Amino acid sequence: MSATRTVERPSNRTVTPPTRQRRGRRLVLGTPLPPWYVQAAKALVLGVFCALVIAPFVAIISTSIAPRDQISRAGGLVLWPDAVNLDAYRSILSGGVVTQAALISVGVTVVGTALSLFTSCLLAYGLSRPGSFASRPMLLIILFSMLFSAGIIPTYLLVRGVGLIDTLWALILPTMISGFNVVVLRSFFMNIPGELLESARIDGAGEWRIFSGIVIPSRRRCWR
Amino acid sequence: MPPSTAERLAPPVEAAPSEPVGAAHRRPRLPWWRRLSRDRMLVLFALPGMLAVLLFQYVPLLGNVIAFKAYQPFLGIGESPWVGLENFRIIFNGDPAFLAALRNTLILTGLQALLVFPAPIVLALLLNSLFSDRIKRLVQNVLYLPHFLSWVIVVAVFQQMLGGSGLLNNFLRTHDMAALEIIGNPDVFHLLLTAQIIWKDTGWATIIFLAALSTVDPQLYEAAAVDGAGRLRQMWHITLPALKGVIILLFILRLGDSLSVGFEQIILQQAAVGRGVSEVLDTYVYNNGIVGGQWGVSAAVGLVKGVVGVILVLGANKVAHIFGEQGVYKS
Repeated sequence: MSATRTVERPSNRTVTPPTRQRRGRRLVLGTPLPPWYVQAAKALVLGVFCALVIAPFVAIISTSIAPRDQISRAGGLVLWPDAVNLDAYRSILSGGVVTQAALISVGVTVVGTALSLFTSCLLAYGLSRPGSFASRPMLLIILFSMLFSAGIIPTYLLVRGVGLIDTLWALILPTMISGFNVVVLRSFFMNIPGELLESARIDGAGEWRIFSGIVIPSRRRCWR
Repeated sequence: MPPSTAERLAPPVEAAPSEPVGAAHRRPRLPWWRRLSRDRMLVLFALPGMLAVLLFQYVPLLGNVIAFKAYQPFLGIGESPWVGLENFRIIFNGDPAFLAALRNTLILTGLQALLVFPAPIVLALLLNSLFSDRIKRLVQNVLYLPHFLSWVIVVAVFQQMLGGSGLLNNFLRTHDMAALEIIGNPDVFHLLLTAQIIWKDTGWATIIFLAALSTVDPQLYEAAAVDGAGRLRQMWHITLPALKGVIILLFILRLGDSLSVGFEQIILQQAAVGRGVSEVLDTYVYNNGIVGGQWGVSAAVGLVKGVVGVILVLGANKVAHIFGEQGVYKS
């Protein structure tokens, strides 16, 4: 019998299970591998999915670096460029609308993410010590806000009323705190042993020092 | 006497009042101002986030009062006249645009429940049955890439691939076959929207299911194999029950959102197919309210949608409790 990967188990069954008697079939977790046509079908399905996901990107990137005559010959989209031609990138990145749009996108993303992370961490840490003042009502407020959204019109009127229309802060502030993130962060912070924080406090660290020195670095694992 | 650090950091002993555990455990609850002073830094930390949540999530709820008023921007919310349920009457008396929006929303919700929700489950089962860890991870990493693209890019990609002069039609034309009209065709628009969502988000959603599947003890499979179970039987008895809890939880969360079938994705393509097939409740509110200026009616629609969503979530959670699952929160 070919080498098996199963663990031999003492069994008080009198009938030997059929899987162990198949010859020439590799056993994984006690079950023989599926026949070749099933494996081929699985590979085909997964291959088609992956191709459907990758092909558009390959086509678009190839078209962006393909020489112009190849594009017009192919009718607009190329799957693989004959040569590399960076004219398109040069023209859009040499200042103008695209460069400014890219800078704004990057800026909003960086600032927005940093701000959101910072306030969410602060909020989650503030709620992570059970028994602290008003932590339960505040947590309920956050949880409840996850269940509904007020609607487009009132949110728009509020953003306008606060004076954020026509500013980039309107892209950052309204969605800064996500209830789901706060809950996840909070449960992570609650796992930090109280003794660690207590010893830091004995050493004279203030709350802010504890937050930045212990809580944030231990949270790096959570980023994954 | 300031409370010791151990008292501050340890979770409070909320023992039953009749439990005489010992003198050291019996501690009178401090008056609220003492607790506030003790925890002032923690409260200070939580303050910015709480203010943001209260301002941007709860204050707009008050703004829903517009649904009961004839809001005019120059009068403001306070001075606009009350009209009671008049806005709701306009909607439910058969405003054809609203009915079309409602119909499209329900069709898309049904398509999403039927096709978009099971797709990551099927894919997760397929990936889980692979034997090579490396291939599994490679396929997973490839498949969840489109999740990080914005809808603008995804719509543009689809237009490049399936549009009139896109990759698919070029291929068909060069091989002397009739070109398929997909983009801009109102008849297939709902399926196109669903396909876009599947393309974009299936890979990402499989992560959660794969995580649930990876917690299953491999010895269960071995034991089932010893008992003579084939692969299909193992899937039915071991793999699917492991997914049951996650599926129900995600279904409940999805249910609360079920009337939100997409906004950005639809607005981007609305011009190409016309409002008849593409208007959903969210785009109706946007087009009529913010763009068209019918604030009261649109706010009423938004309010109805929000209320229905909350009812669906709470109801589905209750149903989950009846079936013995934990649901989103324990009642």
